[in-house]
Amino acid sequence: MWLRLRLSDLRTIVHFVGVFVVGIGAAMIVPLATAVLWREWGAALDYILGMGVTLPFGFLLMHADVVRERITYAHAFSITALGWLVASLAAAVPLAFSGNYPTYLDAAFDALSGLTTSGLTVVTQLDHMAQAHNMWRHLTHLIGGQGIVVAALSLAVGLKGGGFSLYVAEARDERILPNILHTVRFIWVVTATYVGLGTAVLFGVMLRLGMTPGRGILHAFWAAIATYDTGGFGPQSMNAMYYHSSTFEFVTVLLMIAGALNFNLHAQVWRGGYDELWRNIETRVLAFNILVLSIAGSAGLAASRVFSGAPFELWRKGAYHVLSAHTGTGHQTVYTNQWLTDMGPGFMAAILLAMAAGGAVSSTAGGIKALRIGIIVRSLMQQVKEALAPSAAVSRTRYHHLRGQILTPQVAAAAAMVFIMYAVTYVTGGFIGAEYGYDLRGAMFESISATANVGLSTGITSAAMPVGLKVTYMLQMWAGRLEFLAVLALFAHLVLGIRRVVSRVGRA
Amino acid sequence: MMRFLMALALTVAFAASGSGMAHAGLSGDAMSPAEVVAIDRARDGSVIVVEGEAIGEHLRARGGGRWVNILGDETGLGIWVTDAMAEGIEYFGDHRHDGDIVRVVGVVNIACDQHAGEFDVHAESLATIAVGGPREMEIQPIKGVVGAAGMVLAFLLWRYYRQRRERRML
Repeated sequence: MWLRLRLSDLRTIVHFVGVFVVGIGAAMIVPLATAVLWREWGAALDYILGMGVTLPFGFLLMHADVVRERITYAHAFSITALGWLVASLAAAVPLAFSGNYPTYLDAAFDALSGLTTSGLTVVTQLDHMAQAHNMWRHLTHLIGGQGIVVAALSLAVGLKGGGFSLYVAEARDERILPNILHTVRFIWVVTATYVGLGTAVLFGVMLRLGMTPGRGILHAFWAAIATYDTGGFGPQSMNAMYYHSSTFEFVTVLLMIAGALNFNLHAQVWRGGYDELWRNIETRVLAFNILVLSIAGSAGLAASRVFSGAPFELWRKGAYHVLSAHTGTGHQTVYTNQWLTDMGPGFMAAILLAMAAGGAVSSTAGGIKALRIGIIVRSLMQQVKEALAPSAAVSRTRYHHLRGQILTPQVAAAAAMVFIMYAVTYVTGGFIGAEYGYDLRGAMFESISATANVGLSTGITSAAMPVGLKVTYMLQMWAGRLEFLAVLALFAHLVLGIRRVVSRVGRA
Repeated sequence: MMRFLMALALTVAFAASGSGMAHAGLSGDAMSPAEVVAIDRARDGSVIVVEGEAIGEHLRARGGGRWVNILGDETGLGIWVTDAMAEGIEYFGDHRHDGDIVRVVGVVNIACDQHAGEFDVHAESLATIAVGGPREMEIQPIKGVVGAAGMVLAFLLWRYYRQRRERRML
């Protein structure tokens, strides 16, 4: 039986969406401060206007329900799905006034891409963009990477009850510490540590390259955020290619790996449980996939005959992009058109598989996730084992994920369901892109990149692409980030609501 | 005026030398960075002429030389240049500046063996054909007025929200 939302439930949902919008508006203080520090007065006005629009709108929505503090799972899924969408539209307001986006939809595309840590961009004149706007674009990675709900919970903004249900609805189903507030604060501590360390090291790299300290610290901070949060935005249109630096690539590789690991795994390692690193099914799957796909990708590059460099150079280019794809980061050191012209089918196949697979659950990465792939493979192995065993034999499959666990049919079915949802969305988006006249290989690449929140691009994603395709990729990024469940729940509520209204009108 | 004369002199000197153009075997029109990136792969290792806006800053290259990234048609392109060429660029494009428009004659590499398989151009000559400078920054005070009014409204809505909440909680 479907749970019907009453008017009071809708008021609760609207109230909490308002809380998220207020949070986004309040976060604009950071780019505003950047604009003031860099004396970018035009950009400063964009953020004053942005706050002046989003804050009253958010407070107005909060008036929908001034008492309710407890929320159920039914509320949580709708709040999360709607909250991410409305928060993106709010985050787009100052970008829309920046002059770097031809339309508001383009600004909304980048805001949603930033929050979902996808990294696909339709920005124009990025190399002339104000530092304040670049700060905001990268800050969306930081807010979205940890999760808008996590951000709100950590500040305890009006979320005193039902926090865990919202946390789950945001595609994070593992509590790290007994208290949900302690859990989200731990996530921020881990993030601050990696972003802080990454910024410090990358700042040294930027100074060595010859950047001024002012630009160097901003580029280092943004690169650390975009990489650890597996986002992929960059302050220059050439992305990671701008720096022409192997040291930059090496540091970002470490940050990508850290960002793609489960926050629970970080917690275990921080507590001294280093053996979890190689016992956990997720890290094993990730390590195996990355190794195999890096070798296959490098071999594919060699076979393309365009890259005739030393084996180490082939490995470097191959492994960097496989890691960037697998972790969902999206940094690239090749031009967008090169994917289809120079990289060869073997390398393309390796990148497509890496993007589709994704990182770890409860991390900043997207995609199907290593845990689910591990569970599906184990489940298949169990099926084969049972088929070959005597009929009276009972077999059990165990796997290690934070603790020893028995593989149940329910766990396997849940993993398979999410796998199918991703696969269907990857293929559907690819065919939609092809319908718009793009090469099917490129369209499939872009579709997987959007759904798995990766950000690698063959060049289809740009301000010039059709509006329908922009909306398609936005829906894919949104649904992929929330792993479909919250989005499906929202659509179910909408359909039920419309049916109810239609039947009432019919009766009247 | 001095800048204009300097740019004119450089352009005339470059045109007079004609070496780069003859070497490239081109009729005269330079390519944009976007055209270079999409160049016929059979021309890998050939000499080309490309024009674009110098952006960001020049960066130290491993093993000597500098990287200058140039922009055109929304596409950036890495140019490997000598220290002296890089020092000759006055303005690099960013939010506050339009960068110098430079004309580069150099060898295009689809996957450069010297630079880890990068797509790059090794410059043989670099000339500034238009000097950049500060960009005109448009400031629209109306945004500040509307924004400030919105924040006052936000404050009032928040106060009213607190009052309603306290009344309902009693």
